[in-house]
Amino acid sequence: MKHVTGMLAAHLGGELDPARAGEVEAHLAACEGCCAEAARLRATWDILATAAVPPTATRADLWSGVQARTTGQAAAGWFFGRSATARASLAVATLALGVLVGRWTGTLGGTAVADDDNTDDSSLAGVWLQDSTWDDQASGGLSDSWLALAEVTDSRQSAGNGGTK
Amino acid sequence: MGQQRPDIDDDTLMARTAAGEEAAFRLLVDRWQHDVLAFLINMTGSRDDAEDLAQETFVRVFRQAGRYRAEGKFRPWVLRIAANLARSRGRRARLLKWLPLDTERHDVASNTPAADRGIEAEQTAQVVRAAIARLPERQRQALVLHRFQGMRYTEVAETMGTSLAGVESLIQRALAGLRVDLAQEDERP
Repeated sequence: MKHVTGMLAAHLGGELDPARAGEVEAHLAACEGCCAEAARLRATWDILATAAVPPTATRADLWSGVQARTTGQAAAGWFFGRSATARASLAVATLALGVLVGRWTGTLGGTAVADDDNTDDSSLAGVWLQDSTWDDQASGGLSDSWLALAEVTDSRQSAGNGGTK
Repeated sequence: MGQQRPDIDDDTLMARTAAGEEAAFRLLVDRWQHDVLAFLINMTGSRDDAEDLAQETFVRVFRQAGRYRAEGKFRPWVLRIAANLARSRGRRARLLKWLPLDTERHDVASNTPAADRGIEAEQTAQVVRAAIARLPERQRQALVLHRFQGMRYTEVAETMGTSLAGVESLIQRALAGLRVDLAQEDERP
């Protein structure tokens, strides 16, 4: 005789098809052990109702909070509304511009970027990404692209700085 | 359950949200906020945490509207986002703070204040909530979706990204685990 304890929760929840439900009922009529377990699970099932918070019982007005949070992300929305290719191009262009401006201002200052400045661009990028609430799913893996670009830039700058020492 | 408006379905509202129509997004929030909030309260046991997570859930909906697949399955999709956020927060906190619900602030069954529900009933509810909180994450999620949110196993499977057999097993183990836990609670002095 095959016991039916593994199907009792589904039976309680009305999830068994008629054939399986009939099988369980027939077994419970004949098996004292399964019948006792079914009664105990039924009591547990019923008592759960005391702890439930049904959707109809919640009073909620989330809109103002949601609106405030989404409004703050309007700029990000503009960015993430682009295609993956466009976003990658924008990211590369922004990074390239940043590097050029950095080199240009360094030249104007008469010296290369200070050798004793231990600032590591890739670390900064990492911190920025950690702090960001944009996850990989939302950004379409953009974070990886940023990190990769930052590492490339950093290694190039390191090579350049090494030549001035 | 969300209050369905038959005139505009969720998929259409999502398409309009993706196109930048704020009114459509607001309709979605109004329609589903009770369902999402109740689910998160049942999962976290905290009204404050649940409200914060519910807002964040809808922010994600807004953000990901362009990638939503219109298959008439908005509810499993949005509850999956909510569940993932609840799980992430639980991991960050290392331990879910499952505190007894403050029924005054909680606004549950607002027409029947806590005093009227009876102290004993509230104590029972707290014991049961604490036992639910001790369940493994996925067992708790499956049980809450099925028993509290009224989802069929097929919907639970969609929401959790698992098979029907998996859901059946999770809920069976959850219920059996609760039965043992609550029996031990009864034996405590």
